[in-house]
Amino acid sequence: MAYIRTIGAHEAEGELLEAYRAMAARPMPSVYKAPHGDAPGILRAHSLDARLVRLTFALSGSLATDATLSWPRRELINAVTSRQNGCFY
Amino acid sequence: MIADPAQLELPAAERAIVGLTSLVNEVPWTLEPADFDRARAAGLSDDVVLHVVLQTAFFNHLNRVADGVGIEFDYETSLPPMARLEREPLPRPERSAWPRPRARPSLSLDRRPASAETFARWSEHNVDREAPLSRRDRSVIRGAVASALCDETTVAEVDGAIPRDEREQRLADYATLLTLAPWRVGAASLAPLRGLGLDDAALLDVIALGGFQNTASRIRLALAAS
Repeated sequence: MAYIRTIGAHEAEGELLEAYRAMAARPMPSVYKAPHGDAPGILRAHSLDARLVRLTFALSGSLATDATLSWPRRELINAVTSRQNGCFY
Repeated sequence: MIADPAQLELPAAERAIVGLTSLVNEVPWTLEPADFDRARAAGLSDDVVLHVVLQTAFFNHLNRVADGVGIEFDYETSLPPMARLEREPLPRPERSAWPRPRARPSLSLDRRPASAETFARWSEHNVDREAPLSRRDRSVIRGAVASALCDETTVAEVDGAIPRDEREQRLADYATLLTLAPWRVGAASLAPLRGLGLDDAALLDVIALGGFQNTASRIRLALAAS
């Protein structure tokens, strides 16, 4: 259980619900679809501030939607970074 | 998950990406032009190098929010859970040895207008608000993160922002831990902040601002050194 409250898709409304829907509509590898059907945990982690969700993941979108770095290369960077930060998520 | 990035067997370009990523993650204050020259020599264009810096820096935010908020892993994976890191943070140099920006860095966010714009909006939301945290609180947190990353420009931007009371010291202590050793952050780390009366929205503000500044300082240090 998270250390602070988070808001799932079923109880989201307004700007947060819009952000969840926009993220779900983004093309992404199937491994990034959480099997529980709710918004992924990393989105819900930001959910007490709906604008923060939108702005944070606008930047991630800008990094994921061009061909400068392929998806495997981005995953390599993400995996190395997470290993060095000791973050399994 | 990669057990030891240094032991990966990869083509030269991917090895260069891992090398640059590791520097941005672990010792961004040591970055110098030669690091970028090595990446170029391995075949990476300036656009790729910039993308590597931004991707790496941004993932430092995501890692810290994931562990700061304590979310559970929720994707399907065949990977076993990762052993908890036990290592100490790497030592930092004295402030007198922090890097000074080059007069003419070779890389700029201007090469990626969409990323520059989204970063600017994200930055404004984190930095230029009065609630839940005050502007002074934000400066204290940003100053603590920037100090832990030897980012002189940001420390100067927040005018030092040295904690001046118990409340500010607790905010700075949390931001420093989140920066130096995110693998040690847990529910108990938030207790001193809850003791100040911060509610969950304010705690998210602390965590997200700390994560944001981990991204912003890494970008600033890397681009200034390029």
